[in-house]
Amino acid sequence: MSSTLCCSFAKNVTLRSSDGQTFEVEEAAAQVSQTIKRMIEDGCTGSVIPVPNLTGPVLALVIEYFKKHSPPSDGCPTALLEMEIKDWDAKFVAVDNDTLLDLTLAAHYLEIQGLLDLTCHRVADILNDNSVEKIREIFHIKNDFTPEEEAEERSKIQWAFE
Amino acid sequence: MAPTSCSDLPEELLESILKKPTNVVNLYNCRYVCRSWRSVVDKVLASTPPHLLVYEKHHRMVRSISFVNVFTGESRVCRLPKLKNGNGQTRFPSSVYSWHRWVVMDFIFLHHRYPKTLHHRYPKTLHHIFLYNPFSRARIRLPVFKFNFFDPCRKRKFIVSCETKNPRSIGLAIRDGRYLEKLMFWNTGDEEWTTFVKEPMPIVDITSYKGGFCVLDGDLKFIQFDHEHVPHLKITYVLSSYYHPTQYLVESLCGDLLLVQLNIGCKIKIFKMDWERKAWDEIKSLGDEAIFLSCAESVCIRAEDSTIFKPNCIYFTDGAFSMPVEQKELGVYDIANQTVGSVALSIPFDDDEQCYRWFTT
Repeated sequence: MSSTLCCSFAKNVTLRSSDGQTFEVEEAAAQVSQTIKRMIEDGCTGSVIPVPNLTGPVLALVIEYFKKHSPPSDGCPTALLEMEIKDWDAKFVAVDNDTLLDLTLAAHYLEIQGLLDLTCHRVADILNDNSVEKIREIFHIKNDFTPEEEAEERSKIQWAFE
Repeated sequence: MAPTSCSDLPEELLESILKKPTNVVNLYNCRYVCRSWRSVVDKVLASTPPHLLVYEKHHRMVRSISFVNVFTGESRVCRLPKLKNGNGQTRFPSSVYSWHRWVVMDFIFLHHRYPKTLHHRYPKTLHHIFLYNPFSRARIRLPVFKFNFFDPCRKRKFIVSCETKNPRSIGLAIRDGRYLEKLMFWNTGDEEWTTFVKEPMPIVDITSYKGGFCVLDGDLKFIQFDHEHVPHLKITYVLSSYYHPTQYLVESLCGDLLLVQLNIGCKIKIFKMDWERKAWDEIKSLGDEAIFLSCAESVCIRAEDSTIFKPNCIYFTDGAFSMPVEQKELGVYDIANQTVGSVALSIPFDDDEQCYRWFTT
């Protein structure tokens, strides 16, 4: 996928991922991201906008989010539409852990508040449901405590809670 | 695609994740993931609202306690350990208090050494005091002390004090309503408590302060008990000729001693102790801190960018304050606007003690 066919009169921008894939998207939709909005305002629209923190597949997902959340061109969003978007959001973040983390980071770098809230909630749910070992595994975190510290932490972790 | 390494998850991102609705236990869990997580969790914990410690007694004993987040209504139950004395009797604690990350458990046994003569109509009671960390289950046993009366209906409260940098000395003050019953210190290695207040003394409020205690007595004189030079009446300063039944002492996060005073017409004044001039100076703002008042011990919490509770506000329960706030509501006084509001409180009302204890993380 190198570019999408554009047949509307809306102004388009081109985004390029870290691995060189390019995506064309409506300018209004891309402005859901505060980072991209600033770049457009600074006059970067003439050329391709680089998004060096995101790989192609992640950027493709983010663009899907942009399209769903772009401000409607024909007036106010209806309650029905809002409900539909909510449903869509829930399905959108029901992905595997690695993809979820990529999306969280993407939302953070691109300053997409709605997506950030959505993904952070999902990640918080994961933290609530898993043990320390499992959390390290999911987040690919190396345990950097010394064995002594680890033993001390172990003894602390026997919760008194039911 | 290479797997994401979240050890380089930006700190501010991890912080916003950990600030999502989660309970304190899970936050503690996340502390043990790795070093960088530990520092972020500690930061989040420092701005977590205090939990209310609530319990019910069965046969005058407390088997479990609940920590209630008053803003979310979420609660966690924590079972308490039993204690066996030398005669083989076992007991659950008779009362539970809180002190920072610890709960303070009071196990009461009857003292049988004295015959039940007229003089000893009321048997003495032995109090075994334990500090118990509900997260780690660590326990610290403090020496036993005696009380002359056994009256389970007393609204007795224990206030613990200890310098965090020098945990060799622990202070314990026992308050019963408007009276300070006992005030004593214990140093590591001592067999017994050293008692400084033996006879009930009328007080308005008492708070732990830098390892010792600060007391506002019945004549509104200010007294500081400092364990390094005990007994030591450091300052006696009459605050006002009016009697304010609702005044609270609280230590701010930067170590200032604050006095919160309720005046007629729901006006709250806050004073800060100027130690050099030995005088109270009125202050108009708490900055990014919020105060949670309680007649057990009030606490200061950093509110900064919390979305749950607001900085520069004073939170109080009806038990702590005679303000126009209904039962089962948490009152909130906005200092900047001088307005009183409320937050609905979905917790069982603590009839036994008629007083809330804040458990801070």
